[in-house]
Amino acid sequence: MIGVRSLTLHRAPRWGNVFVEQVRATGLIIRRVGVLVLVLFALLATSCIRAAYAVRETNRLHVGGGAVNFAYTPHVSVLLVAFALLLPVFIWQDEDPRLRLYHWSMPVPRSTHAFAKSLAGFAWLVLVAIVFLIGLVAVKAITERITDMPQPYDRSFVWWEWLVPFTALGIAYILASAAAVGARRPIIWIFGSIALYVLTTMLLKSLGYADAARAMQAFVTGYYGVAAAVGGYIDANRPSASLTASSFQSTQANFAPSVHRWLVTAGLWGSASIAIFFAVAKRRPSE
Amino acid sequence: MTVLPTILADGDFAVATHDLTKHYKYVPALRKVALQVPTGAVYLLVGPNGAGKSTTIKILLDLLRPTSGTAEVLGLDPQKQAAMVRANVGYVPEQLNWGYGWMRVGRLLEHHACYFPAWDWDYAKALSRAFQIRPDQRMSTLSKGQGRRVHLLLALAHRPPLLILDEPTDGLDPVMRDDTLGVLVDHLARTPTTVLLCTHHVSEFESIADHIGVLRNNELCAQMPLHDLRRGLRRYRADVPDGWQGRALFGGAVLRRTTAPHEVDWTVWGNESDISHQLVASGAFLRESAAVNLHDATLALLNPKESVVA
Repeated sequence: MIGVRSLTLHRAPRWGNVFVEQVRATGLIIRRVGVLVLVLFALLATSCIRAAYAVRETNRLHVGGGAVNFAYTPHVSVLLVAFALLLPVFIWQDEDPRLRLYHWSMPVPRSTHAFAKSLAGFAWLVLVAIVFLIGLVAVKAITERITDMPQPYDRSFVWWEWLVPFTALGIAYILASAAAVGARRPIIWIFGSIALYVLTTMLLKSLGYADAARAMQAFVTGYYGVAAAVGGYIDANRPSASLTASSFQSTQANFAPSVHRWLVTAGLWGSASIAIFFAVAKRRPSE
Repeated sequence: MTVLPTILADGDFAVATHDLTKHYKYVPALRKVALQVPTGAVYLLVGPNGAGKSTTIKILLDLLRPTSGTAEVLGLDPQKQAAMVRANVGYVPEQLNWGYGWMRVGRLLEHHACYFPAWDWDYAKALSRAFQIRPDQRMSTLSKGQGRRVHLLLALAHRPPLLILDEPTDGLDPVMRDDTLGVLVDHLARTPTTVLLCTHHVSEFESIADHIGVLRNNELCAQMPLHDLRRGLRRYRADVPDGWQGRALFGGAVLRRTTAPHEVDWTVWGNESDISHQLVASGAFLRESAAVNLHDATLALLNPKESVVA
């Protein structure tokens, strides 16, 4: 009989190897979604280019007939945030908490493993965001050439606003991942929470509880509200961009964006999201 | 009167639990279980459905936390060193619904190999051939038996020091059961391994098992080497006179009792010569004392009962 003390134990896998494998596996899970997103990007770019041709044609017939502006503004984060909210649902689709025995029985601590898988999904999400932003720059350059008209950035635009989509993605993705890791029906939790928030605020307003409604709104539009970190609302008074039938049109800004406010808000909401994620990932639902 | 043993002699245990207790809300799943799986042993853990076998296994792998008590696996504490425990265990769960249904078998093997640095690809390929596993099939399209074989492959291919197999032959056809058993025997011959095996099909593993533990009513009611079971649990047939009063002598040790007017057919735990002497001394005429096979022994341990034939 062999003795337990004489056994040479196998070592656990390195975290880096687990993460790389999760990036590969997650890539396989979301490859169809990725193709769909690329097709949507291509359709969006095509419609922008068609709009530019239409504007050029109009301007040829009527001088000064119109303009397009596809210059980047942090508000485009909203599109990416919607994707970031849905992505964890695809990543964990086959593994709701009842069916996660395989994932949990791997030689990696439970919450670390969930984090590795979610981080792998986030790596793909960042790649999608980079492709999207590069596509946006390309569309701007192409449509400028087509219309022969400059498309200026917002007057107050500063370089770090290119990073706003990534904090927006991060916070939305981590919160949605917490729902996907902890709940059997994450879609209901993600969009149900948003709907519940909107309805509660509206109800408080309609019932005359203005202070309570304002307190609720502060979560989104307050100084440390999630909008500052996620929605690209860098300053409360900054005008928003609008999406017309054929183009993005943004008005001139009157106030300078605040890097301090963005960093503090992103830090606060990011830390809270990560804390929620780990609290959920450590839970043992079967108990 | 002799009671069934629940503690093994001191030794080197690959798995040891101490007063392991688990409650699901208010429903007990385990009560003060002291499992002892000697290193290098093939240990059969048997029990009816709901007796706590799978719960015990999940606690050993830190997939569940006990309400009280402790466990030790390969000298490690599952609650503190769960990753190391799982790195050294080949686990086949009872339920095959693991997720990852979208993955092809070949890709799943690659995925699994990344988690186990000791993964032996040559051995994995040999096991694939032995289990007739097709790497291009999606996990979700596998039959129960095919899924079971894939999981056995995943458990064996990194040659872990401890195998925990929960119903490893469930869903396999008779031919594949036989082949699987052959693969397991071959694995044990080549790799120093301790096996903790939960099954209802005890007779299939009679040739390789050397220890048995019996969970009944969420308690460990017996635990011993199989040779002790074979020696100590026997079937006695005896003719008895009218008004025989001998039954009271064997109260706690009789596991199965069939009594006809002038005949008793008992499965009794204890020293054979002592029991034979007691029967004879009580006025019975002992016709037969025979060892019981593992299937009948398990049945007697799991379901002690008395029947009277008119």
